[in-house]
Amino acid sequence: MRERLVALRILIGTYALVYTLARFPEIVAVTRLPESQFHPRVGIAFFWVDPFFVIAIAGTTCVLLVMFILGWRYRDISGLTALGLTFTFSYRSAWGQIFHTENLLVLHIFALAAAPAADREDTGKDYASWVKLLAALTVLTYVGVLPADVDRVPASAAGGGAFLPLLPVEKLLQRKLRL
Amino acid sequence: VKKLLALAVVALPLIRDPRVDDFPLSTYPMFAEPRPTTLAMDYALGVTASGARRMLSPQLAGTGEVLQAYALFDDAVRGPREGLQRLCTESAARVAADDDYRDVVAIRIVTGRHDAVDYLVRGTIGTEVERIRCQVLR
Repeated sequence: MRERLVALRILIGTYALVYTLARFPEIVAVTRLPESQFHPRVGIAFFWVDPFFVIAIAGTTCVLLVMFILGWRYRDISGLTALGLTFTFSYRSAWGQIFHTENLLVLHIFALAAAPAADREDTGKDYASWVKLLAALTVLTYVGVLPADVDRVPASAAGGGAFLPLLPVEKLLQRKLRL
Repeated sequence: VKKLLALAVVALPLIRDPRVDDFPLSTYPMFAEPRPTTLAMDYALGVTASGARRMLSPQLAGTGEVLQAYALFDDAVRGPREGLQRLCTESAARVAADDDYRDVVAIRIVTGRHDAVDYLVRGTIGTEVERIRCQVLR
């Protein structure tokens, strides 16, 4: 199971690197938008940051992702990689449009960052549970779509109450399938 | 414990107001309401010397992302007038520098209201209210 976790690190890390590089021109483009169009408090993009630093962080994140894929100094860099990726995509989403396609990627990189995903040999750790965690995150991220059904949310719960028990899952599924 | 914590954190949107989106933990509000076929949105149009309308690409608003361009126009129309003026002027400057739009002489930022099926299937354009117009200076 260690090999599977390592393979997932390489695959997801490579996807993250290719995705970030492909979006790089767009990341540069948003840094040139007027500051007045910045929407703070999206993810960890709490405030407007000078374009130089945004581009520097995105570039550094790409370098860290290469190290992440190679498993080089993994313990030192994996957390920073996850933070760099989260900041880069939070900032990209902080201009009025959240890019939901990046949610799961960031969550997976975070989970891998906490996992022993660069072990060179089996040290008896519970590798399988980390692989299961990645799968569970995938499912949970999209199951989260189901209760997002504003029509059925009682007004009293609109502020963030526990409305979930009021919403039978099968009815939600039926409704989603109609959309 | 780390794994259970990760799952709990990712499940947090389940108990959050579904209208409040965030990143990377989203409530996916775009799936939360029935979708009417009528769409109202703000966007820019090019105008040629003969008065014909030309669709513009989102790059001319300063972003390659369609949805981000949508948000930029939405913000500008609802925000202070100078923001709208600046977006129009900057878009016009990009149009002036792009040979593909050499026939465009002015930019109109409009609020359009279209029936999506009529527009996409039958080519029927709905109503468009002009918010601002600026010349393309070459």
